[in-house]
Amino acid sequence: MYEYQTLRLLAHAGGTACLVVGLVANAADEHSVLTAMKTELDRSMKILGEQPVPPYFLSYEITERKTVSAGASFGALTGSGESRGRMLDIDLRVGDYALDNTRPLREQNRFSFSNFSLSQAPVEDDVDAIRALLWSETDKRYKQALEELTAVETNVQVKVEAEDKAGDFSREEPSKGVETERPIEADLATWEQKLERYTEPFARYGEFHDARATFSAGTETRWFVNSDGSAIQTTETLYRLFVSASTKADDGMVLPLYQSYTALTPQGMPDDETVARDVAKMIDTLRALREAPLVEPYTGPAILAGEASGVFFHEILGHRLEGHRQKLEDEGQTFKKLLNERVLPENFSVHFDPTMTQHGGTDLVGTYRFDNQGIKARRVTVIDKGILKAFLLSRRPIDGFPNSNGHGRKQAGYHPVARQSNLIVEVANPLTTEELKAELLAAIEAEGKPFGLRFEAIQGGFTTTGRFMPNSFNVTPLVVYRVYPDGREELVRGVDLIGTPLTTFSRVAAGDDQIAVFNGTCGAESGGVPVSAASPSILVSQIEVQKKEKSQDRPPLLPAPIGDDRLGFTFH
Amino acid sequence: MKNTTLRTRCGALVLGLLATSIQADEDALMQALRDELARSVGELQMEEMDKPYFVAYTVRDMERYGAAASFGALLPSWETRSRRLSVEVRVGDASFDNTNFRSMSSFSSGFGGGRVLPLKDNTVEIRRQIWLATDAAYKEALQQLANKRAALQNETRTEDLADLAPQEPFTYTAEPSRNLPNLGDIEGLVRDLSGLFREMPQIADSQVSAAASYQRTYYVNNEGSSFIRNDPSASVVVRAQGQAEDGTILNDFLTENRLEWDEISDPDELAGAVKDMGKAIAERMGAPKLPDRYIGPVLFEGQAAAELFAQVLAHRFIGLRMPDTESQFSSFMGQGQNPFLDKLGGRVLPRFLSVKDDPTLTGEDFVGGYAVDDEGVPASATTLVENGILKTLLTSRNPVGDIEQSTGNRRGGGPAPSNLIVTARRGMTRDELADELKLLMDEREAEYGIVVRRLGSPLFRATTGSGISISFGGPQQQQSSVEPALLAYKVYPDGREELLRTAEFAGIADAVFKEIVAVSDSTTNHTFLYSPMSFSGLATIISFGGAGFASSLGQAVTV
Repeated sequence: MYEYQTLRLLAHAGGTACLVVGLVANAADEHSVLTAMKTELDRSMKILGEQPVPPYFLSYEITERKTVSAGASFGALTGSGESRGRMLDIDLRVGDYALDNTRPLREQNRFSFSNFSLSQAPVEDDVDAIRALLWSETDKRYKQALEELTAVETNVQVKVEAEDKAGDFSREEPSKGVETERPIEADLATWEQKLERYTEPFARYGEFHDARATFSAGTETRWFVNSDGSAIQTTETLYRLFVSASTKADDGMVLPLYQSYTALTPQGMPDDETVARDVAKMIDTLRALREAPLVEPYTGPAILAGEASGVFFHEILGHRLEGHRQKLEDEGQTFKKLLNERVLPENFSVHFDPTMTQHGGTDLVGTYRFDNQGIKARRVTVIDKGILKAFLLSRRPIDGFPNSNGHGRKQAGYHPVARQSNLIVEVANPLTTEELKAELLAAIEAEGKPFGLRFEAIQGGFTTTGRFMPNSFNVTPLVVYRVYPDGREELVRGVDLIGTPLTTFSRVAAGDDQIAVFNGTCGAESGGVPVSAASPSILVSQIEVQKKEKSQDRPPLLPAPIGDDRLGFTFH
Repeated sequence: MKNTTLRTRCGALVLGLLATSIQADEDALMQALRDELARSVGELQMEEMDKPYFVAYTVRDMERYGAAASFGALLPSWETRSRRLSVEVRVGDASFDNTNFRSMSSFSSGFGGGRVLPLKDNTVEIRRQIWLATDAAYKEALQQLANKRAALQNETRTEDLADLAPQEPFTYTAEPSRNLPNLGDIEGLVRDLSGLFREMPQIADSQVSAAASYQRTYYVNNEGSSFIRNDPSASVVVRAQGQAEDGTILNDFLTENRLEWDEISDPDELAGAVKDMGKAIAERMGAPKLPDRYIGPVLFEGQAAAELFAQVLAHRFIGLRMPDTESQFSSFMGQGQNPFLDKLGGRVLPRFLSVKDDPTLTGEDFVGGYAVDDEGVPASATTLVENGILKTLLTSRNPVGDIEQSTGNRRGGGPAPSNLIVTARRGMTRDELADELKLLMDEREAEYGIVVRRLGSPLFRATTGSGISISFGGPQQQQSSVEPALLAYKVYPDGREELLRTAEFAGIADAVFKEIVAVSDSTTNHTFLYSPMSFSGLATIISFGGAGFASSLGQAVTV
């Protein structure tokens, strides 16, 4: 089904993301929206239960998203505002747990049933209007589900027997939890001024073509009910400051750089001095990058610093452990037969832990209390001392894994599939940073290479997991250093880190004790979801880099219009 | 894909300033545009390449408020303020430049060129954005010109048209006239109107939305033209849908488009219209469905007559030029030529009908009016059809066919109508029209005729059930699709009328308009949204109301 799917991870440059904040949900009030949903769900099940083909499962989820945000460019405000919206998602299933209307059709027009449907709900707590919407949408979904079931039953008849024998939906215990709603705590006027201040230093230079800062603070409240008896109300919050800038080298290459700050609370945002220091560093790095030499395609040893390493694990491991990819017949199924086999050195373990809210003092955005199918979040150890132990599972079971482990996730409007949460790489008996670099130098010498590479800041990455396109990954670095045998480092530009998963994975050699966190938005078939990847720096004995795609446009012909005396600026 | 409310704080901030300060800000913006214009024309040049011979900048400063509601509860509202720059750079000369050309690369590189400007009048930042946008547009223009020269070396052009029509410089400045309602007023209206559907069990799905916006448009070019224009708009849209017993979905809508929020009908009047619409849908649910085909005379009345003109003929009056292409594209682009280009001087309507486009008409009834078009060309009336003969088409500064001069109709990406006025030399009273229809029925020995009182709009399309199919014209004709009727009746010779659930048209050819037999002496003023790919804007059409026009369908052929 997803042969052409490219799975993408990007630093939080846009969109909204969310975090679980309330740790304990005592005596919180159940919202009238939740009550209305319960009532209408019972009524729908009763009415549709009298139909010849009744639904065997029904769930409603209403997601309310409130955001305040502002943006500035080169010291001038470009926009500011607040938004509020509610989306309704319905999962209605006919057939039974073994075979239902949601089973993906094999070798069928892949666009016949869209994975996305938009259903806007009233933002006012008007119980009658919400129930009117629930009923009219349930009716539509029911009719659609009947058509889908007919198509699924025909498809099963005409195709060879599926390799995976597990059914379409798992039986689970109901979940209950009601958390108090939380307000957004941010004064937009203050942030507008801060953003102008943060981006003003870039305006002093003519070589930056883009320099902006955005701030957003958001809450996402979810109300979820299903016919198993689950009833959940949670509120997640996220505060985020993102500063980005780019310049262009004389050969046309666009050189971007960013600094991202993410927190659960406004108190977690950086102070002005920290941002000013980071902006000054960005300016220096960008100007140095313009002059930095290009790297030719190369294979050899490299160190991936914490964030780069986290994204590397997210792309090559995480996506390939998502449950439905072990089941779909057009997926690469890279790790399916490696269960209980060694895939990493013995001192490496990897967990997905949505219950963690922080790691090494940094907030983790891939955290939640219940997934989008109402299953309680839990820690899943996927690699234990180098041995592959588990997959990430939604309520779509796979052979040997009949139950969800709380990773059925989605963006509002999409159907949930197994997705990543907080990826945590642990290295037992880690090296120090110096020892790791010594190992790199040793590897350079052993292989007789002129240099190795050290990847520091990265933008994100993507991977393809299907069978039609090559099964590969790409990590997009922003800051890369050439490391010479004598230990000297030189800033370079113009390369992407690429490879195929199993080969590259087998070259992971060692890790240090410096944990770094990458917080980002991961895009796949169930939309964009917030994820984190926490990892120490790792040494990979052989990586491959290819030339980065490059703009062919020359830098601007005329000088920037900022050296004009009348404007009171001097040209740098 | 996402529903968001965007509330803009800066809007309020800027608007809080004194009028003198707004004046100063506007002066600063215009000065920034002129300063960069001077640099671009005077200094911008790649080694051994053409300099730009024409540069124009447009800034659209828009403030917009809107709200929507369903069954009495608000959906997300929106409040936006944006300021966007678009840049036009031409290289070569007016007789042959980088425009009017499409190639593989022009599709892949997109039609960008738009940039966001800061909301505050930070002159340095505004100039930086103009500078970057101009630089990118200039490089793209050079590339396009080179591609165009290369592509045309291998081909003989069928017509040797200039690329930019000459134009005398023109300047215009409108006084600011911001007059926007509070978001609360808009929210109140949509909440109240949509709440009416709670009392209508026959309506399964409905939505009411309303919006008001104010745009100041700033323009400068290097020929000395410049303008500052106000582009306000206000609208209310009500959509409802019901389902007949057999599953047929019946929809209807109600729209009001005005320039100012004050001009929108008062809430009681709108509420009455919404209730009437609910009743009309309920009546259509019980109305007979006729699966058979009908070929014969049709009387279009009021909204239906105007909407028919809007859906079929309005597009025909546009002088849109087909670009030159790389040879591998020519087969795609060959189609799409407006057939009316070959009919200049020929008959397109009966002798008693004339059509003109007149943007100089302004005010409540003429929302399509303006003082100056998007290329700085002053507005003027254009006679399109005189006594049934096609005289010219509406153009921008892009010459097309034999029309070498702009008619001042550039709106957005290309030419568009403003206020289309259809006039008749002899109109009939309502009774005379009814007699005329009866006469046509008698001639054909038809059991009944059809009267259409409301036509659907392409903007409010719904999944339609089957209805009767009315066929116009032959398959060899250019046909336009026309939306199904929302109110259509069978009319029997004795004058008795019978409501139909719906009626669909099998496609209406241009030639059908020549078959118009009679028109009314009264007119309907109808506003529609003219929105081809490149532009979406209001236009007004004046045509016959009360009664409408009857069309004989002598040559009607089966589908």
